[in-house]
Amino acid sequence: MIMTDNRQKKELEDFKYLIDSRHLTNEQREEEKSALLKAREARFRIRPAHEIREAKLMQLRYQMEEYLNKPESNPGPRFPEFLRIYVDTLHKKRKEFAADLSIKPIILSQVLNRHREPQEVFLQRLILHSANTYQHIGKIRKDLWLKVYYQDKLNHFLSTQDKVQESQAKYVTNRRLDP
Amino acid sequence: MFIIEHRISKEFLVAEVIPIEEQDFKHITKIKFWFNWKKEKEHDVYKIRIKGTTGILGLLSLENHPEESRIEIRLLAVSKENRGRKRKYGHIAGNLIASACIRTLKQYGEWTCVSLVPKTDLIDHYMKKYKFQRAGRSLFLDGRELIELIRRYDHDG
Repeated sequence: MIMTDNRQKKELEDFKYLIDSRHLTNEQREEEKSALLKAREARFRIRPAHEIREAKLMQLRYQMEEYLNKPESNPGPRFPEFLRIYVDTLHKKRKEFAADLSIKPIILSQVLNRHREPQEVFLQRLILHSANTYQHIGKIRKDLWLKVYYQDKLNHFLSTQDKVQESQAKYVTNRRLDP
Repeated sequence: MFIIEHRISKEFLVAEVIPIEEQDFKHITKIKFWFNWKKEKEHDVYKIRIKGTTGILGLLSLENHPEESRIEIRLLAVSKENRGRKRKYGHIAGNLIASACIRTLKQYGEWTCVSLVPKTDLIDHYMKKYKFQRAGRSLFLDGRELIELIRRYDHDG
């Protein structure tokens, strides 16, 4: 009896390191789906706005990191897209975010719509703003926005270089070097 | 960045959770990883290892349910020498669960959810250790609890 108890205890201890969710029938899976949706909806209804905002900001951070790790999966440009998510997650009106950075709303709008490149000052203020925003959520790499911006540039350069080089080749000569 | 702990030396080591490769299946035995992992090939299977090494410490199989903004942990197994009270490294299961949480958060944002179907005897364990919530036979993580678990295990965050 003691032997069986010990074996059961060991097996249970082992199973803390093992998960197997496959053993449900299709009917049971449907029941689980309904139970999960019901429970999640009930929790979502009472979720405070700041928790929803936190989740969106964490999602944004991971998406930006993924873009840097696998830039070829969605070559972009992603900077304006990520910036739009950041701004709209924090503020109902974009001019409020422009005020946060002490820039004119038109400049923000032009950057978001890819009609203007963000200047260095814009990028520096954005980095400072993000560092403050993420302070209580989970750190954000200081160079994340900058790297995303330059990744866009690199992607653009790489995707257009064949065509550009074709038109520029006539301006390049390689002088014959003495042996 | 995930961290695992060598239980004797108390040394902390950087770990990574990355997709499994075909050649890994040669080293994944039922004795070491409990289940037949070859059957999981059609799902998203990930391995955890110490960065810069090749030894697999644990495995994770996920099933995505986009229509529900949910990812289910189909299978999870920590390698035999890292299970139980005499395990060599700590935090392997927690890191694998956290990596599932990051994947779902990245995809579904505020609606994100990770679920699993536990052994009945271990429901309390998952609820206490990882703050899972209960729904039917399933346990799930969402909202604040899911984000807190990510913060606990992802040391970049």
